[in-house]
Amino acid sequence: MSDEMKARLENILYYHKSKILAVAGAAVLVIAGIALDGGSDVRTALYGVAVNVNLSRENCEAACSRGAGDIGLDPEKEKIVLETGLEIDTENPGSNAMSGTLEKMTTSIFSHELDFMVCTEVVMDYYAGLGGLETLDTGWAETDTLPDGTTAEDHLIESHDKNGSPGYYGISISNTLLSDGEDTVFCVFRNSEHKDEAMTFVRSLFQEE
Amino acid sequence: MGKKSSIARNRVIGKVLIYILLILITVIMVVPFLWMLSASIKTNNEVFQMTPFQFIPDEPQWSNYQEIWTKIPLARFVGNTVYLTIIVTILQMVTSSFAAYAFSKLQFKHKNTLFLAYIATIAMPWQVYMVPQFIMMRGMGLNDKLLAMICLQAFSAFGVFLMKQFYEGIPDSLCEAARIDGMSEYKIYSTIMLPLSKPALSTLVIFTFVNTWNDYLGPLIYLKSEEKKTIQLGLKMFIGQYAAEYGLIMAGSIITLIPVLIVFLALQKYFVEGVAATGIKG
Repeated sequence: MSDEMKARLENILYYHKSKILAVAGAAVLVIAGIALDGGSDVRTALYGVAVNVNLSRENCEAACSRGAGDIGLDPEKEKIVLETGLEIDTENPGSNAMSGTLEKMTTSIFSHELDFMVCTEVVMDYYAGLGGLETLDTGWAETDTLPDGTTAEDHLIESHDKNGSPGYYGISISNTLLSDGEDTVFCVFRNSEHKDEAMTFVRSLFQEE
Repeated sequence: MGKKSSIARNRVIGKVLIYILLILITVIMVVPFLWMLSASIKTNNEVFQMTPFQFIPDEPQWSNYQEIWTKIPLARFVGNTVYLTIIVTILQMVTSSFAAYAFSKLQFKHKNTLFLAYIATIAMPWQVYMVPQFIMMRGMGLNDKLLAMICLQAFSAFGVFLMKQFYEGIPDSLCEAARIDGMSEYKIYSTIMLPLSKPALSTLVIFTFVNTWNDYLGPLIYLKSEEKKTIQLGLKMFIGQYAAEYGLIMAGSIITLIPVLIVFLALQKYFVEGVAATGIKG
């Protein structure tokens, strides 16, 4: 390197050090952003939450990938997301709002984002009572037998809407992958834009292991 | 003589009382932290064992600090949180100081009305506009993206208020002299105002850093994939419906505390100056 070039480089480093550092820092942040937030954009084709139910990560992944296959999703482009760890104190939802689950649920339901819910019967009753759930007796009961050989109608669970009228708002999935050993129910939200996919997903849960 | 000694005695008694009060407040502040530290090396059963209470258990569970990295993808959560916090802090520093400069040193129509309108947004709880904001972000394709959190938190009315308060204390004549010398407004902002506002900027950095780092509700609503979650959501993964792994939660909490502590200690000197100069209390 010639002396003139060296002197010029030293001059640049001396007078523009902060600018060079700023540009380098910005570049690092952009690269980190692409790595963390960018990459392949896999669309969420079906979104559900598990409320008051403990599910292992392995079971969730297995159920979602099986469901995605049954729905016919391209795993490179689309996925089913089942978010776990949410809790609601249905006895006293007002005080539970502090933990954020109710805010999350309310926002997702009103924005037509949330498609289904894996929960306990009490949680189902709570949302059915608010008028948030879809009745499942039509579409579902027409499926005569499930992949595991049981009758579809036997799994329907009754609840009441805000007017007190009875209806089938849940499907018992207690002996499937998405159950923590307790009585677990699958519900579809009225605002969901993917009701058919949600029904295909719940059907896929009844496949023999 | 007797009056003097009684005044001196009263002073001593007053001082003793103040010290007792201060020690009491310090204990109230420090005990939860010490309990957290102690719980982080205990098993789940030992955490709430009070009789006898052992600060360091017979068999310290140092493995808690290893387990938290394997039980959940904590490294990924830390990465997401660090990225989010750095970007949001930098953006808030830039946007707040820039807007504050305009509001305090430039003259334009309806300046005060605009400022009041902007500041009024502080009074509005987030819950009020949470749903429409989420729908808007979803419409922009930012759902389940860290970019959504960045867009939401890049602008802060509180930050603008804090910086404006500080800039008000810098004489206008300084800017006027620079203008006469031919400096552009951008140059005045970057070479005169910014270097002078280190204390206020440090205060803003601490507030923004801590708020973004500890934010729970925002990421809970906007981020749903595991690979996008932040550290606060990650810690919640140790809490189940019927049980919570307190040892691991406390170990995780200690880990999450370290960056906040470093930032606070590094900027502490400026922070006190900034609080005094802007009249803002934490």
